[in-house]
Amino acid sequence: MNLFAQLVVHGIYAASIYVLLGVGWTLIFSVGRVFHISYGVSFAAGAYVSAYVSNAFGLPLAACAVLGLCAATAIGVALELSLYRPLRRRNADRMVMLIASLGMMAFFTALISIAFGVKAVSFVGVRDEAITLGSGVIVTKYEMLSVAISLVSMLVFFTYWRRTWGGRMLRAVAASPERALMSGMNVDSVRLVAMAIGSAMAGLAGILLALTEAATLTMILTGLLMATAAAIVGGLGSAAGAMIGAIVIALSMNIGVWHLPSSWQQAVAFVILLAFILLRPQGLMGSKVASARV
Amino acid sequence: MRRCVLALGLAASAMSVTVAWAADIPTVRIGYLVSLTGNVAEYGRASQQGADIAVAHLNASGKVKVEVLVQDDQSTAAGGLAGLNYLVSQGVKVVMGPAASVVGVPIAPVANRDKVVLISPYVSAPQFTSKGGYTFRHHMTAAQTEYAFGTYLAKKHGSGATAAILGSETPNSRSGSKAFQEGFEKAGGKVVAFEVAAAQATDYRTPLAKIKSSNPDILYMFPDGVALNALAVKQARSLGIKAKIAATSIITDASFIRDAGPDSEGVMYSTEYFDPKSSKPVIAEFVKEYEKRYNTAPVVWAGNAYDVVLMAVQAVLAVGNDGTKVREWLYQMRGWSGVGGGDLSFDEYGDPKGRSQAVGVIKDGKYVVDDTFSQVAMPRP
Repeated sequence: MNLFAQLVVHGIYAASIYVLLGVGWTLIFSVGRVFHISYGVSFAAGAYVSAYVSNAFGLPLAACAVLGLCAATAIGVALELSLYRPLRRRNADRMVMLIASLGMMAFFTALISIAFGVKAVSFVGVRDEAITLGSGVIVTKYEMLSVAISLVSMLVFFTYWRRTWGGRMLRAVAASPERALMSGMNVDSVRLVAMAIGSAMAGLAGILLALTEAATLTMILTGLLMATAAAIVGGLGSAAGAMIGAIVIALSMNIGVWHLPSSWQQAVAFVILLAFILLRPQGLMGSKVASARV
Repeated sequence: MRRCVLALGLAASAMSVTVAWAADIPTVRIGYLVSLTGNVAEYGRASQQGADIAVAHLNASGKVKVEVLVQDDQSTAAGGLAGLNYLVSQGVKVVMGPAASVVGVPIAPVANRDKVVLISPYVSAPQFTSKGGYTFRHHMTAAQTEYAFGTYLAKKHGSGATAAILGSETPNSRSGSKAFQEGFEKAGGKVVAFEVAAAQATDYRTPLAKIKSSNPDILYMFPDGVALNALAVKQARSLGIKAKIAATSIITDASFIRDAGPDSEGVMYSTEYFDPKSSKPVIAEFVKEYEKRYNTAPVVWAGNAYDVVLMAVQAVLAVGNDGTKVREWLYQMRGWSGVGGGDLSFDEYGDPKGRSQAVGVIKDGKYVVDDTFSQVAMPRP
């Protein structure tokens, strides 16, 4: 077996998950102007709800996925309406919003552990199939499905973002909420749409992950970390940058341990993140601020 | 008014009967300190279930009345400390628990200071017990069982056997995997890959891909959690790893077979010997009651907890509710017979002697014991 090729194949699968996480988080960050700490909750909700309904009611995978997506989106929308929007109306400081979001993450973590227990929940009875690509390199059916769904989602999202009126409104609010407001846009509604799309992307990532792995409480934090790492490496605020950042991180985490112990996987991701923060803080796609005056 | 007086009179006479009945049989008060919530709740719940059966049996015998104070350690050291302090404040001197090393190791010095006896059904970290201390365990350490398992597999496979190890970043997995490697290599085998994943990782495919490229005869895995073991086995098989898979006693929780599905077939495991199909009366009775109450087969630590309660109550009946005297009684105890073995005693550290170990395999969705052997003595690290 060609180990390098196998690690690349697995890196591509991991990238399909991280891309959804990174782009979804960046959308919420740029349009909603909020460092959405509770983002991992939508990621976990997608995974838990889809796996749970599959195990408990034996529904078809597509129906489980729809329910998972609904749960993830509903959490995001509920947070936008009950937390971020009222705080913005009171001109709350960004730090206040960040701490409020942190509190909600703790709340939802407890809620998920009460609802689904503390053990990992996987799709029981859903069997993955291995496909040999050549020279012993293996990819599974659900890994390929994950890559395909992620690719299609990105195509749909970027077409919407670049080519449609709705996308143009999202970009307008991301660029300047004040100017968008002055031109007569309903900024609150646009932000709600951004939150719904971003949370749905996190939920979709969670469902795809649970198909080959499992829903766990730790994914609430790892989901957030991977999303923010992808966003920072790609350039904060750039959706295309977040996508490229996610691919860079996923591939390096897998290929990086080719000659290193596997326990270094996460360390590799954070070395890259640190390198970007120190050497290229604007990320891959961000533009450098020449000077700033207070 | 007359009716009221009559009712009071009847109630008073009923109370006097209760007091007289209670005065004839001694009352023993013990504590449970187990993880009922948190990430190792699976260890605590089964322990409590096994212990509850012992309490029910003792109370039904009519020879003793056992009262239990239950504290949930929440799978954390802080929760364990709070629970122990509460039990101490209530005058409890003997405690069944904790079930997890992450709780047991930090609270052991407190038990020694407060002269409270802790008897654990499942703590495997060596640091839990100390020479002459108040902490005991009715459970072999992970290092002991895994060392012996490594030796067994290397010998069984013959000369030139190779193994790859998939561990995780927990103290339990670290010490157990290392002991497996030592045992395997001492018996002539060779460990060709040793990969360690993050503690709560759910994606083992990268370390497994590396393991596959080393082409081992045996894949030994020790992710620290039942569901995580099931994931690792599924991912190993989906990657096309054909090696025999060997795991720890963690997979004897029945949810492993449900979660891993057909991939669980042929997975070998090693555990303290506890055969639920044994015809030995104490085991048969325990298993029957456990299955009736909880609708599932008991895990080894549930049986251990059953024994611990019987032991604790017997000790208190013999020497009274005094931590130091109970400790001495336990160190002197010889030839104790229970679910966990027929000739048990504790060494000078409070670790068990005389237990047996079993090697089993999952066949047709069931745990089947293949072989048993006596506890292997290992030098304390």
